[in-house]
Amino acid sequence: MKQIRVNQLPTPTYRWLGVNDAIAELPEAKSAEPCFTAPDGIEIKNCDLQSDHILSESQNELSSFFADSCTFSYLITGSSEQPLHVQIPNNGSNFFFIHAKSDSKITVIMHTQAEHNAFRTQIKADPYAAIKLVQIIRNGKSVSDIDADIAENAHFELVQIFLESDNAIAGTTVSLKGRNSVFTSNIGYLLDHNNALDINLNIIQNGKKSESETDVKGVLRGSAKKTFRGTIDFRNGASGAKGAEREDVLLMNSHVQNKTVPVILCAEEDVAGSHGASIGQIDASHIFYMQSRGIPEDRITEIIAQSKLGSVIRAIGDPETERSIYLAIGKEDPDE
Amino acid sequence: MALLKIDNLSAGIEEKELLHGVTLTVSTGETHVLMGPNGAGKSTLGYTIMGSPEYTVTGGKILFDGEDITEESADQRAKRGIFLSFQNPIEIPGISLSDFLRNALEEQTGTRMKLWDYKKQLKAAMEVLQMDSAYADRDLNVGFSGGEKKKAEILQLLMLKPKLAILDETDSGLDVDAVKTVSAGIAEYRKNCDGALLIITHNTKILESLHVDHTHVIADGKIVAEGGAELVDAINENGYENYVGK
Amino acid sequence: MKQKTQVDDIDRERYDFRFDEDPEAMLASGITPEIIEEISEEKGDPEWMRKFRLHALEIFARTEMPNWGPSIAGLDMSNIVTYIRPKSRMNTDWNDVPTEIKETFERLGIPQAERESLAGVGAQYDSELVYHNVRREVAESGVVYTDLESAMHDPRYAEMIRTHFMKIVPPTDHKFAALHGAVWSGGSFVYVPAGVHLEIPLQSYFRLNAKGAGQFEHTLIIVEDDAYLHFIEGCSAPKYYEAGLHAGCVELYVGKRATLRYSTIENWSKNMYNLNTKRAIVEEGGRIEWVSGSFGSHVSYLYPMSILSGKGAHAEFTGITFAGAGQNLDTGAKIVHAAPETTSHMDTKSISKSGGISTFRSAVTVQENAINSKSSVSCESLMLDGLSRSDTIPVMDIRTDQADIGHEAKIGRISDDAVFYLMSRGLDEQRARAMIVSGFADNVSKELPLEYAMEMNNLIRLEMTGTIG
Repeated sequence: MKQIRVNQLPTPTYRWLGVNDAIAELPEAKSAEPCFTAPDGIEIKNCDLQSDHILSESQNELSSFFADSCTFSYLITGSSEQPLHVQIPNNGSNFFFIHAKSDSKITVIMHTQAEHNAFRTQIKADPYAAIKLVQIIRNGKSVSDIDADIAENAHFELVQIFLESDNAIAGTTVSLKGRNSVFTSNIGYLLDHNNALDINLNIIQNGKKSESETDVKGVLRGSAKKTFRGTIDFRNGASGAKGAEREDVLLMNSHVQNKTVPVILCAEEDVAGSHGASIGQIDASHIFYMQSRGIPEDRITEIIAQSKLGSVIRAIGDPETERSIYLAIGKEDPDE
Repeated sequence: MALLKIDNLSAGIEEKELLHGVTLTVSTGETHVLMGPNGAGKSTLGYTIMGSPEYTVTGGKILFDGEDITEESADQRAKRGIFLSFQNPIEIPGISLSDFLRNALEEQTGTRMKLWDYKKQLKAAMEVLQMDSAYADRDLNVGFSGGEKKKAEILQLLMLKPKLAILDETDSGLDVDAVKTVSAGIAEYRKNCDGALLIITHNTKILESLHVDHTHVIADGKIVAEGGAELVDAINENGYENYVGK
Repeated sequence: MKQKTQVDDIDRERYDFRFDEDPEAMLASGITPEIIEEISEEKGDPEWMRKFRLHALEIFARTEMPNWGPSIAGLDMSNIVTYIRPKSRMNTDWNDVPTEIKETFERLGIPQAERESLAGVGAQYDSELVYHNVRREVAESGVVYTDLESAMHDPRYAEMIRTHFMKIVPPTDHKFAALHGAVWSGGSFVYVPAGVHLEIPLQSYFRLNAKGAGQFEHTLIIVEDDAYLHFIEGCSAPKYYEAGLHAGCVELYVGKRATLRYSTIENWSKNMYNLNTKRAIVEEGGRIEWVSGSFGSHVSYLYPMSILSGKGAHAEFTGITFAGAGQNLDTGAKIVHAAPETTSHMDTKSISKSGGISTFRSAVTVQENAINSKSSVSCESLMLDGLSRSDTIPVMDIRTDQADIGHEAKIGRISDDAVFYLMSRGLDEQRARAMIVSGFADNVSKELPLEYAMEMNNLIRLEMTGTIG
């Protein structure tokens, strides 16, 4: 098992808080092939990372790992209104390069329910293209690494859902390079027992009038641990750029550990950035209101925990996938 | 038999007592109006009947259907058939109005509802209140205007069909049309079940379409006057001067 | 205090695990045990203090530099060695004071005698007298306000100092805390007995220049149960020292139901590396209120920490940082909720102009036992041009579900509409912008006594327009 340092905070802070980075365990490279269900208009082909020159500029230890160990690498292109479904295999380390050419639209829904795997998704959205990436990460150890490059007037939408993942690492770097480029993301997690989740989302806004909006919703139960680092990095020249990020965490057990690191870096005057976080238990006034309509307290906490992720699930936009997640959450309900 | 019997009730927040020995009885099918100047204890009484943990009962009893409910939690009271329309309905993100109400109904009836039947009922109730059906799928009260929030409260009243509905300033901040719609909703509630109403209000517009059986005037945490519908008119004319500070 | 030890342990463990030593970052300090012995002898330290200094030096030698925050590569440690040697203390001359500082004094209208004194070149100045008067008045209520060195020799306070000195900021805390422990010199000691409410603020301004104190000064304040104190540190005039490093230390002990308000307007000269450590420990029902303005220094690392160790303790931090040309000011606050029902509130503003860098850095930690605690943080940054930089780096570490934690951060620029509105009423653009920036800073100015608030507004105007109006 290879261990490497990942999820580095773009600018480190006090060491004693232990939020400057995380350690990822990577699976031994095995020949595991993902399973694709593709709609018309989407093309998938094997590619060679080296000769096809698709490695991103920002090389780090993790991207080198993928470059060296990925036996199966795929180039995804084309355009369709329908989603491409990808099942990520157990023990695999896969590389996906999603390239949406101008005016095209690609939606990829990745599912993983494996013991241990690692996958890197490289996104390239050409001008006026739209890419939507949905990742449903359940159970086991996983490392998901995303690197996105967004050109002018292109849109990248990310939906990530973590359900009772034992130990999940998610690192995402989005470069809004082009003018009017847009990034929106909905991230949700429902963690219990000894689950651990470490997220590092780094949004670099270079493009003029680029926009980013990030909405994170989560529930921690049992003795779950979670770290969320969210950085909006306004680079000099990104005039008219806007960035907003919000994390809402519901804590439901006294043994949980929640770390939230909402960073804004700014080297441009003409920007508007905001960050919000709210962490805590269910508001007492909410409990009373719902009680007054006849719902007992333990049921209220169930309902609120289940519905916390509602907006994230709705953002998936694929009814079947949404249903499967509602079903997975419903299983948590002791009344059913 | 008395549906609600409040017997010498004292209650307050933390150290401060806000109600001093209030006694009041409401019977099935009756409509009661509770009036009083700001800070008199009107809302405190409403919240205490519903069992808000914010208020502590320091003396007296609340009986419902002959049973002492003073120590019961809000959901237990709701299951007995008490409903409070909040003056400021709480916004709860993440839960749609429709899901919430279905949960509440199932809790109160103890049976699972068929989704189809439920949706039909909900749609009918929303039509009475001239509510856009899209509100059913929106998060509970989140981003609703003041009027929409009040309509959503009355919608819950129609769906839950309680034995006693306490309407706390349901008409405040509403324009004339909205008051009409809300009144229609209340009338619908009266038509469907032989429920009792306790209306906390400043405004008599909402009372026009209703037959008022009893009026109670509260000041400084005490009931200072009792009467029939005529008392509402008297207060409209002369205000509370005759009752305050006595 | 127990909590602090815990934090230290975590620190070391993580550190050893994650980071390799970077020999480049280690400064060749050249501070030897002999130099420390010299300082100790010169000051006539009690034995425990001599040992303390030598021990701190050992810690200093083995502690690495921070691997986060602004660069301090430009810090010339050999210069500091020269400065801390008691026998070779420099006799600086008014002529050596940089022109920029002299001009600022002039603009602020500070008299010549005071200017020299503030610049660290004068011997004593008139305010000493004022200080003595203050002392007489407060002494009647049993309050002690004196310099730490003489208090250490006073049998009435010696034990109190030994049991409190560098207990909340141990030398192991970080490299510059260790340096401070080894070479500290000068500073204030304040003791407010139980139940005493001091109506007038105590001001360290008046004793700033007592015998070369300044760069490694130690402030120790003990406010006993049910007492109240407002302590004000600093003034708007720039403090200038040739050696370029300020590594002071402030330790505040707030008793049960006591309140301590600690206000600072810091305006070190712009060659200064300000690596100051401030920390308060608050017992049951006590309050610490920090009011902090950071205007000076070349580089600052300043994050007053509040350890809420007693049930219901409260911390409040109100701060403003203004980074202009050549400045890299890394400021913020740390709050540790270590007991039930503790509450905290942080409200900070930062302004970046003419290539200045301002960073808001914070940590709010809620420990497992700190049930029913609440914390809210609000930080706002203003970018005045595209040359500057403004970063916000907060961390929240929450370990109980029974907590209510909120954080709001905003960054932006002066609205053109607001400038236009003021200009339409006859202000020129520069004035209009200055006025808006002063308004932006009013979270701090309204917490300060009037004369300090005015000084601060003058400073902002000076930074914005180069004149005082």
